[in-house]
Amino acid sequence: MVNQPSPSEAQAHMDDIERARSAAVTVAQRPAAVDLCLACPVGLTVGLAVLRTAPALIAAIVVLIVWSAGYWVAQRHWTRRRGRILDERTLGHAIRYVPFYMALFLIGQIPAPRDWQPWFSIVGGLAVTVLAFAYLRLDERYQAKRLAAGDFGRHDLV
Amino acid sequence: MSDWGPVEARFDDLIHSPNRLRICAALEPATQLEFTALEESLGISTSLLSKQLKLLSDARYLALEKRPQPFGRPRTWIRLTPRGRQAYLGHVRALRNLTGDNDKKEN
Repeated sequence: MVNQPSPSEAQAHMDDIERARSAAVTVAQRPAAVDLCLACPVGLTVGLAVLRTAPALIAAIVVLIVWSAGYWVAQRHWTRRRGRILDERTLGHAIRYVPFYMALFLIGQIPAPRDWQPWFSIVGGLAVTVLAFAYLRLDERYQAKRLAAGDFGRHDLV
Repeated sequence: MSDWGPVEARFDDLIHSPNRLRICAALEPATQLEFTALEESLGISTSLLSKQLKLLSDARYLALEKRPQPFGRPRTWIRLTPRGRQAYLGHVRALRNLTGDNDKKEN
C-alpha cells in the first residue's frame, strides 16, 4: 500500500501531470508546414474551378481527389500520434469554419468577366489558400488546447 | 479533469512513481504515442523509459506494439489500455481529493 502524499505533494504530482500532458500534446502537434501543404491544393482547386473552362475543371477535380487522399493520410497519421476530439463545440467551430466557407461560396458565385482572368482565379485561389491555412491552424490550436487541458470525455477522443 | 465516467478514487502503487505517473499523463490524451515522441516529451533517458514501460505493460496498463517502417527500424507505439486508463484516472482522482479539487468541483 502506498503512503498517501501530503496535500502539497499531491499538488506537485498534479502539476507534473499537467506538464507531461501538455508536453506530449506539443510534441505530437501537426506542423504548420503540413497545414500549408494541405491548404495550397484547396486554393489551387478553387483557382482552377473559377477559370470555368473544361480542361481547368478536370484538373481541379484531379487535384481535389489527390488532395482528399493526402488529407485522409495526414489526418490518420496525426490522429494516431495524438488523438483527436470529435465534439467540436458548435459556436467556436462555426467561427473558424464560416469565413472559409463564405469565401468559397462568394468566389463561386461571382460571374467573372473573361478579361478579369487569370487574375481573378489567382487572387481567389490565394484567398482560399490563406483561409484554409488559417482554419487548419485554428483547428489544430483548438485540439491541442483541449487535449493539453484534459478537457475531453470518454466518447470525445478518437 | 477529463470526463471519463464514474471513476473510483484509488491510489495505485504502480502509477504512484513520478516517472510512471508522467508516462500515463502523456498517454492520456493520445490514442497512441510513438516511443521517441514520448521520450522527447518527458525528457527521460531511453533505458529508464523502457524499464518503466515494461513495468506498466507487465501490469497490462499499457499496450506496446512494434510496427515495421518502410525504411529503418521498426517503431514502438504505446497506448493506455482501458485497465490502465481506469487505474490512472482513479489515481488522479485520489490526488484531487487530497488537493481539494474534487470538492471545489462538486460544490
